[in-house]
Amino acid sequence: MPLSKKLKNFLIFLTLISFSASALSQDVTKVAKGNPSPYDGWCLSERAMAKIIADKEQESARCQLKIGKATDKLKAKYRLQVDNLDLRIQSLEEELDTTIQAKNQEIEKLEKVALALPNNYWYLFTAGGFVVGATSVLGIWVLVGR
Amino acid sequence: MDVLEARKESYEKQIVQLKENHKRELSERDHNIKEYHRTLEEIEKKYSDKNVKITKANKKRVKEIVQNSKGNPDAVKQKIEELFDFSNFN
Repeated sequence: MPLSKKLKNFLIFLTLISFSASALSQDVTKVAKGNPSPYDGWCLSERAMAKIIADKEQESARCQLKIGKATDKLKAKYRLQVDNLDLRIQSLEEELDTTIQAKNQEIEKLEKVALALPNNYWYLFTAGGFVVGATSVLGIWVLVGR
Repeated sequence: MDVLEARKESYEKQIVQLKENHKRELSERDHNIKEYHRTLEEIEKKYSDKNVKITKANKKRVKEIVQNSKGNPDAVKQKIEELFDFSNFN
């Protein structure tokens, strides 16, 4: 491996080490009474304190953001449900219309069939009634005669 | 026979219409679901962008506070008192 490449790798390693060291450096430390704090407590770095203050200041904005996102998601969800229900209503109305239309056509056809075959059998009914009546009279006469 | 034929024709017509309606409804339902997912993606993107902005503002504010605290530590102390109200803590 050439020296320039080794040097390059070493520099990359050094950079990575320095970044991780700064990331791992402690921003918060526990301090005990008299050492050198007047009471037991915590020692925060300026950066840590600034982060706490900044986070607290932005608390409301972050909360509003979360609420806004949740609201928008719910609106989208309920919009979908409403759209699907509208679709179902529209579909049912169309089904009803087509069924009614088909039924009307069926009725028209049945009317035509009925009119083409009029119930013109009065003589059969009359004859049948006469036969039944006569048979009944004869039957009664025979039974009573005995 | 004519009556049966008329009824059969009517039922067949109804079945065809119902199938067509059902197919159309399913297709529109799919469209609605796709639209819903697209809206969700837009919402995620919109709020992700806003979140990035807030995070950037947060980092900027942290730097600002660190700068201010070097020259004026009492201002930071006062700010902490204002935000957390330690006087009412007990």
